Amino acid sequence: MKKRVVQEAMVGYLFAAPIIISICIFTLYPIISAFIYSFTDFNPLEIKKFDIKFNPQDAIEINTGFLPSELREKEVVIDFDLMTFIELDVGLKLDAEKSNLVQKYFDSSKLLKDFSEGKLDKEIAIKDFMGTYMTMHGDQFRKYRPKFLWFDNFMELLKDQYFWISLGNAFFFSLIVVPIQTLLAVILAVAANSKIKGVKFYKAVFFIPSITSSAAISMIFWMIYSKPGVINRLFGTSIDWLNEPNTALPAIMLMNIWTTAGYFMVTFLAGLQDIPDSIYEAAEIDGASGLTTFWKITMPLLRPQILFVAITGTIGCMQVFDQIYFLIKNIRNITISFFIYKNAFEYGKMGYASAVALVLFLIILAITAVQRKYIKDEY
Amino acid sequence: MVEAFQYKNRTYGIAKDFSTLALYFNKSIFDKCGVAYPTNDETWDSLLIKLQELKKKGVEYPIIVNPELTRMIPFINSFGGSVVDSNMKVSLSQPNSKKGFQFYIDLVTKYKVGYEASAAGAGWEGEAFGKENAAVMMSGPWCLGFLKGSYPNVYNKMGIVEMPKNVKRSTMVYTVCWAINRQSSNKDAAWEAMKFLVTEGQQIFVEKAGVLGSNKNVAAKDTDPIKQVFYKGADYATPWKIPTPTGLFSKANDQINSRIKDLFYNKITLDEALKQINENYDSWIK
Repeated sequence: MKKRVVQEAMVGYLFAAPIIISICIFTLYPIISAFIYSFTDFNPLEIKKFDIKFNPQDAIEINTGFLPSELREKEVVIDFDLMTFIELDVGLKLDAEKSNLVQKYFDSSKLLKDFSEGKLDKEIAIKDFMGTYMTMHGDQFRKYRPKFLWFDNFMELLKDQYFWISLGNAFFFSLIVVPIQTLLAVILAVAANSKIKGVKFYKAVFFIPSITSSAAISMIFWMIYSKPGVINRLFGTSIDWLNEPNTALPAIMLMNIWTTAGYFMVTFLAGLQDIPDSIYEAAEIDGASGLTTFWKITMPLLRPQILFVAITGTIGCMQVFDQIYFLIKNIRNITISFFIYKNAFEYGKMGYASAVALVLFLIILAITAVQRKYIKDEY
Repeated sequence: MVEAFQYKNRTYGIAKDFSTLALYFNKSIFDKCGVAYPTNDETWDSLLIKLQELKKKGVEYPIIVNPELTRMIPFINSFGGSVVDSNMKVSLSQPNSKKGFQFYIDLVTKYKVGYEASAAGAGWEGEAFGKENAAVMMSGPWCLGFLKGSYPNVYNKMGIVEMPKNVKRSTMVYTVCWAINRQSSNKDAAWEAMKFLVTEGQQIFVEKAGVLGSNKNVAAKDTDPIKQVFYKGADYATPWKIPTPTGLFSKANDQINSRIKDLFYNKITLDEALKQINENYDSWIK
C-alpha cells in the first residue's frame, strides 16, 4: 500500500518535473542570484576573464618591442611597466585590491628571463599564467569573484537623482492607471455581461488589445501620437505628445489603460457570473436605479476580483517597461524598470541594477500588503 | 580614422568606412523666400540670419536640430571650445565651449529657428527634410541613398555645403571598425578577410552603399561629386569619441543629452545645466 502511494507521488512529480525544472532555472535561480548580486559589484562581462588564453611571448613583444633573441644577445635593460602589460597586453582588468597584489608579488624578472629563453611561446590561460608568476596569492587569480560591497549599492541609489525620478514616474503611473483601469474593466465587464446584441463581438474587441504584442501596439501608437498623427488631427492641436516632457507619460498611461482594461474585464466577467440574478431582481423590485445597483451591489460583490485586479495591476504598472523602451526618448520620463535596464545592460553595472530591482521588489511587496489589508477579499 | 580605434598606443580595429556631417538645404524653399543659398564659407552667424529670413517668410521649421551631444560638438568646437580638456576633465563651461553650447540652444529657444525632427512631424532629420517640412538639416552621407530612393524630387533640388564655421571649421566623423576576436581559433583566416574588407571590400561598400572610403586609395577613386563635401570634412572632423580615464562614456552621454533636452524645453537655464554637468561628470564616467 505504501509502495503504491510513493509510486503515485513519483509519477506526479515526474509529470510536473518539466515545469518545476524550468521554474527553478529561469525564475528561482535568477531571483536568488539577483538578490546576491545586489550586494556586490558584479559585472557579467568579467565572469570568464581568468579563463582567456593568450600567448605571453606575443604579449611581451608587443609591450616592449623586443624579440626574445634580442634580449638574449644584446643584454638590454628594459623599462618594463608591469601594470600596463597586465592591463593592456594580457588584457586583464584589475581592481585596486588585486592591482596591489600584482604590484607586490608578481615576479617580473622571472617573466623576462623565461621570455628571453624563449619559453613563453605557447598559449596559456590567464589563471595559469598568474599562478606561475605570482609568488604569493596566485590563487586569487583563478576565478572571478565579484567584490562584496555590503550596502554600498543601496547607499548609492538613494543618492542617485534618476533613481528617484524614475521611481516617482512609476508611482505616478500606477496611481493613475490602476484605479482607472480597474473601474473601466468593471464597466466593460458589466456591458459584456448584458444581453444586448453583438455582445460577443464587443467582448472580443475589448479583449484583443491585451493579447496583441506590446511592441506592435507601441509602433502604432507612435504614429497616432506623432505631430502629423491622428490625435493632433482630431483635436486640431499640434503637440508632439511623446516628446514634450509633460505629455509623454500621460500619453503612455492612456495607451496602457486601453491595452490592459480588456484583460481585467475577463476577471470581472467571471466574478459577475457568481452574483445571483435574484439579488438584481430584488434591487429592481425595490426601485434601485442602474447607477445605484452598480455602486451598491455590483462593486461590493466584486471585491475579491477588485483586490486581485488592483494587486496585479499595481505590480504590472510599477514594472512597466515595453512601452517606455519603445516610445520614451527623454530620460526624465523613464520608469524604474527602464532605469534598471539601462544600468544593467548599457552602463554595465549589474550589481547596482540588481540592488535597484531588490528595492523595487520590496516597494511593490509593501504596496500590495497594504492593499490586501484594506480591500478585504471576502464579502 | 586610425586614432578612433586606438587606446594607449594599441590599435584595436581598422576603420570600415566613415561618414561626416554636412549642411543640406532645400534650394526651392530658399528660392521661394528669396534667400541666398548657404555656401562653403558660411559662418554660423550668417547662417542664422538666413534662417531667420526663412522664418519671417513663413518657413515653419527652418533647421532641424537634435538634442544630442554628438550633434552639438561641431558647434562647441567651431567656437574654439571642447567637450573635455587635455586632462579628460569636462570643459563645457569654458567660455568658448559655453558660447557654442549657448548658440545651439538659442537656435531652438531664442531665435526659434531650430526644431527637433519630431516637432517638425518626422521621425528623424532625413524624413523631415525629405517631406520638405524643414529647409535645412545637418546630416551625413547616409541620407544620400535614403533621399534618392524615398524623396527623389527633394534629392534633385537640394544642395550640400560644408558645415558653417565660427573661429574654426568643425564637423563630426562617425566610423566603425573591423576587429578580430582575441579568442578566435581562425585568426589567420580572419586576418585575410579583414585585409580584403579594408581594400577591395571597402571599394564595393563605397560604390554600392554610398559610404565614404577610409582607405586613402579607395577614397581617391571615389569621384562622385556629391560626396566630395563629406570627404573635405574629414580634414577637420572630430571623431565621435570622448576620451575618459575609464573609457566609459555611455552614462555621461545619456545624462548630458537629458540636460540638452531640458534646455530645449526651457526647463532649466544653461548655467544650471552646466553646474549639474560639472558637479556630476566624474560620477557619470565611473
